[in-house]
This record gives sequence, structure tokens and C-alpha cells, in this order.
Amino acid sequence: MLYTLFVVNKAGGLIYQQNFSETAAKLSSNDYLRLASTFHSIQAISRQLSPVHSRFGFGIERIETDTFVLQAFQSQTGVKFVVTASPETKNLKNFLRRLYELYADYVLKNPFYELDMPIRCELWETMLQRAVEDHQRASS
Amino acid sequence: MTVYAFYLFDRQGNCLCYREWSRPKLMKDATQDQKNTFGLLFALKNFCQKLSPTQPGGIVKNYSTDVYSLHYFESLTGLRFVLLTSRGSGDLSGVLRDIYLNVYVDTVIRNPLYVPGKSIQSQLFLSKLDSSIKALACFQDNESRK
Repeated sequence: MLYTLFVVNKAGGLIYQQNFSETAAKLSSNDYLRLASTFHSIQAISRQLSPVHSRFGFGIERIETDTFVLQAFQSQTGVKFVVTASPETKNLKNFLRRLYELYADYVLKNPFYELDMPIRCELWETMLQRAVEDHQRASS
Repeated sequence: MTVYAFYLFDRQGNCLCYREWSRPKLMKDATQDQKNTFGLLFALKNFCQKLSPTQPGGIVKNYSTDVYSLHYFESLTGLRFVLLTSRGSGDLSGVLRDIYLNVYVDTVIRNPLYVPGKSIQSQLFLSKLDSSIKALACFQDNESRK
């Protein structure tokens, strides 16, 4: 079961946030902004701490805790898609890649969308909802 | 699968123990690296606690990047055990818990000469830690890489 989605731009600013379940943490919009920037910095430091040389240097991809898992996907342009879900959820990586495709199709190709600004595209919301339903159906 | 390093921090952020078995990318400065690790863990713990759907919850077990995994265990007294391994090791936070219960409590807490906050010099602790880590299935690759 999916809980929350964040989309973070390359500077660490939150550009989209959505809850998919009532059980997800309910925080104020300031809290979400702070969490997004915190995640951006955590990713950067985790890259520095790496004991091995990394070809791509993407930082944290997955965090497992006792109550949820967090999966992150970073594109080559620095846009990060972060989703939290219940611990047994599968196929989060593919779900995020699908979201990246939807982002490229319905956000970037929208001529009124300014890069790195908050996402306010209707088609993105619709297709996102559809992708979430597909994922829930596929995992049940 | 290889095991790279082990850190042990106390509540204040002092690194009580650092052991390294394999570290292809050399650190420039060990104290800075330890401070960075402690800071990262502190931020990560707060981040996960806020995001957790149930409160209290969101205790970090491990995280993975594209080349390494970091396994984490924190005792109730604020002692933080950290293990860096390659990917594919599974979840080793239970192993860290066993190291706390069987190695740390027996050799450090019960040592009358140990001063809390100082780095651990006890040879018994270090040798028991080494043998616990070497007994892990994922340590086999360290040997083959030599």
C-alpha cells in the first residue's frame, strides 16, 4: 500500500506532494517542504560517505524502517521521485520509473509549465491516479 | 557481498569504535568522516520518525544506495551501531542487535575499567567483534577479493 509521494527538484525544493492513503502521516505543508529538503541533503551526504567509488553517484535509493519503506528514484537531471509505502509493498522501483515517464509526458511537455516550479498540471494528476490504481491492483 | 566497515557511536556523537575490513575509496579525514556519519544518522532518524504512518514508529533498519548498504541499530540508551556492506546483504540490523547483546554488554559494560565516552580499547571486544563479523555469510567475499 502506497502512502506518500514527493517530487523534489534538483535544488532540493518540493515541487509535488500527494498522500494516497488515510494512514499516511498527516503533516503541514511546511513540514513536507522541510522533509523534502532534508531528504535532498541526506542523499548528498550518503554519497560522500560511500566506501566504494560509484559510477553514477545517486545516493540513497531505499530506506527500510519498521513501519514503512521509502524508495527514491533520481533522474539524470536531478529530479527526485520519492515514495513511501508499507513494508511489504513490491515493485516500487518500476512504479517510480513509470512516474518519471508520466512526468516527462504530462509535466515537461506542458508548454505552460516552468521548470523547477510546483507542478499544477491536471493531466499529470489524472495519469498519476491511474498509475497508483494500476500499482495497487497489480500488487493485490 | 563484502563488509566494509563498522562504527559505534554513543549518545553525544563520540565514535567509540571504528573497524575497517575493506575500503576501496579512501577517506580523506577519519574524524570528519565519523562526524558526517553521525550527523547523517541523526538527520535520517528524525526524518523517518516524522514520515512514519504510526507514531511512535519509523525506526531505521537500513538504507541502500546504488553501491553500498548501511545497517543501523540503536539501543535504548542511545548507542548507535552502524555497519557498511555492499548491496545484497539483506537486513543486518538484527546482527547488530546481537553484537550489542552478546559482545558489547559482556565485554564493555561489564568491564570495570571502561570509562563511558572513551573509545574502546578492550582487545576482547575487538576480537569478539571481528569473529562475529567474519562469521557472517556475506563476509566470504572479503577473503576472495584479497
